[in-house]
Amino acid sequence: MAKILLRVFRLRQQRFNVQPLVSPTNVNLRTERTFIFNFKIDKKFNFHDILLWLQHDYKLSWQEFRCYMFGKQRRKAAELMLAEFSETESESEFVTFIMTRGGYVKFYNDDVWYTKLEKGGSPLTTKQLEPLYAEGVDVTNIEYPKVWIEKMCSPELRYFKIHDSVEFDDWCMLTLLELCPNIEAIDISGCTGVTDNGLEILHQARNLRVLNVARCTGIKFAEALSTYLLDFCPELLVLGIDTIQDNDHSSHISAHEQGHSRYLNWGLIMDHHLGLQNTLNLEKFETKTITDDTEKRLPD
Amino acid sequence: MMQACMRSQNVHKGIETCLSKIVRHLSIGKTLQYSEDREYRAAAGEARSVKDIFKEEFSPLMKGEIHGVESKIPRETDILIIGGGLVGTAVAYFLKAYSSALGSVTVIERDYTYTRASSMLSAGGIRHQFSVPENVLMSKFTSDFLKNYKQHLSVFEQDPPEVSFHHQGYLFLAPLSSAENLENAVKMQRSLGAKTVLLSKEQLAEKYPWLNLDGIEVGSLGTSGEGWFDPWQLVHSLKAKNLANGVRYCEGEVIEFKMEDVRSADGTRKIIKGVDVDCKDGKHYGCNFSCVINCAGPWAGEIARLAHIGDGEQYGDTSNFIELPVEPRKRYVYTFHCPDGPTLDTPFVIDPSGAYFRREGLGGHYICGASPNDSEEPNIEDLNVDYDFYNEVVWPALANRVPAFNNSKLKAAWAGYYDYNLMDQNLIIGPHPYHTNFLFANGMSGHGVQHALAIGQAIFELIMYGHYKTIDLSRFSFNRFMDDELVIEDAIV
Repeated sequence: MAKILLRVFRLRQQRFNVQPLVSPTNVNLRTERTFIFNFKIDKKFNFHDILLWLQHDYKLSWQEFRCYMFGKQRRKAAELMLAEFSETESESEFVTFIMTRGGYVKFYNDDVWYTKLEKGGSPLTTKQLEPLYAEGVDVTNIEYPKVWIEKMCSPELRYFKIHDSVEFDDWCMLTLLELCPNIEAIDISGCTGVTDNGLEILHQARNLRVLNVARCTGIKFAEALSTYLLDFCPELLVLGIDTIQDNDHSSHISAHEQGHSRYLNWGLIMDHHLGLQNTLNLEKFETKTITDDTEKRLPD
Repeated sequence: MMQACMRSQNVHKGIETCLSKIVRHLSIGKTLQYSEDREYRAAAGEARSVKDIFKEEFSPLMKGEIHGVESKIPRETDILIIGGGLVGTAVAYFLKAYSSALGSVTVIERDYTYTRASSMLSAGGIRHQFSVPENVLMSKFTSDFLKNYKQHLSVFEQDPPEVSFHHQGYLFLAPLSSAENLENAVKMQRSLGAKTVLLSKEQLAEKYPWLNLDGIEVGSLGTSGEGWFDPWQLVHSLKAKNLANGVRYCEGEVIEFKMEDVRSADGTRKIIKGVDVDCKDGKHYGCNFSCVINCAGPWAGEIARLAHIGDGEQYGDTSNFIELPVEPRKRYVYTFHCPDGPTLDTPFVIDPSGAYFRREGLGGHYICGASPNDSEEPNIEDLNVDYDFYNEVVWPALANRVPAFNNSKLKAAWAGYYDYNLMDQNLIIGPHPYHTNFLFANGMSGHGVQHALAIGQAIFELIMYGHYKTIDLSRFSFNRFMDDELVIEDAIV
């Protein structure tokens, strides 16, 4: 099997010099729906990586291969991102990073939300950025928050928005609170990675006034936690608690869970582990309505 | 071939009836029946009778099983890990996850329910505040791993893992006499990249108004990466990943190490060749290995004694005369309820008296504990809890530090073992100087939960590359007891 695959890879490399790249986000939490397959021409085809991968005793499944490619893509993208930052941290660098990657930035005493130009690239030069302080950022379009959030450098930030990000979780929240102590509004609607432990640490942000937790299904006790948070942030307003669905009902199980849960798919997994063929023919068990004709055929 | 034949049940039944007739006819049924007596199954390389081999080969047939069942313990393995607790599982994870070329890895665990495992009975904390730089780096490694644990530990067709990490720093309080030590330690931690801050008395009073600061001059607080998590969840997600990676888990207890005489330049010397394992099915199994890792936690001293470590005088070895200085000690953890206590902003507080407490949930529950004096070490025979220790030592210290705890009630308590290093209360890692295929990962003295992953990585590097790569732990080798270069850690809780 390995030999055949190697030949396939080699042929593909010779003919097209093509590398399959996969649109990135969290490796294991992705659903089929959001999966996009791209082909991107890359001259540096790293053959050694594939050899390493083949050396493992993997079940050579499409899922396994996809996971490998996701991981590789993520590592590559992280390297590219970190290369944009120099060692001396400065706010202008971070703001340029956000704008060139498609995020939005609002500065103090300015009503405009700046984003990248249509051609790409930052709308403001570094000289223009020097006297400006970022007041609010919207980083929804920028992937891999775990990678770049440690480079965040805007102590005067008041408003932070990231919604429907799979990767934004408690650790990112902690870094955000640490680097932006004056934060006043956080919008994390749809970030399923944030859990109760992520809400607990919000007591560090004493200036916090607005928090949007709509559709954060990772949070279980939003009501209780928000009352506790009121002791530390008296002006706090927590939005979107109604939209956090009850996790008790099975109808709200996410697509990933439905596809991968041990309990929901136990039959398939048992077959897989025991090496049994599924010989049960489900048609056998379909109830048949007895008509006059069938009654006649039945033996006495 | 046999297995392939047996896939079809009809063929299987036919063979069984046919063979049973033959067996009866030849009157060798007695030898082929399964006896309940204790028997020994030899390890690889030892002579076995043809009868035994045939018996094993035909066993699925006689039992009416479709597949041949793998034996309980493999006859030989490349790397044997004794102890399947957090450290053993972490070592197995790193050995298999980052290099499949290393060969087979087998974990032998005595008790799968982990009723006495130290990690499960601990408070599950992780801190970066140590006085030895290696300890700081190891804790930082664990934090970084837990940051991306979903990427590391997800298994196909299973739910994503969850360790429920609570981000709360440790707060070390120090009186005036030890304030300078704390300041130096914080400087060292910050130089290594740990996010620790020093808080003066005024800052402490402003940040934690519920704290009584009599006799306290300064405090150090970790702001990022510190906290507590669920060790049980971590062990189970690591184990699930190990099983997917092909690590073999076996239930049994190591009862004997087998030695072999080998000729070398300076006469004959003894080397460790294999172990005998007592299995629950009433048999003894032999298992040979090329390398063994002692991850037995509090019982590591017993395992080392079985491996003849420290009794070199019998054999005339001058280099093998120090025993592994690890013994179990008992520590208590108490749960109490206090309705008016501090809530969300409760760090993991460590009092100068040695008592500690942390929040457990949000309903006003806390867990606490302390270390007794050397002269008052409790009996380690069972896991019974001494409630007088709470009333006499722990509670007075905590109620003095947090006045709100005067109005509190003890709810529950449990006891757990501590793998105590008698010499310097620090990790012992790396090969034994004489038996070089016997590796230690012992004596964490209460830091096992926070250092287990880093230890796993270090052992993997030792076996794969022959030296440490990410964190240099050569100061923690067994040789330090021979050279009298002990590593003393000040921040012991």
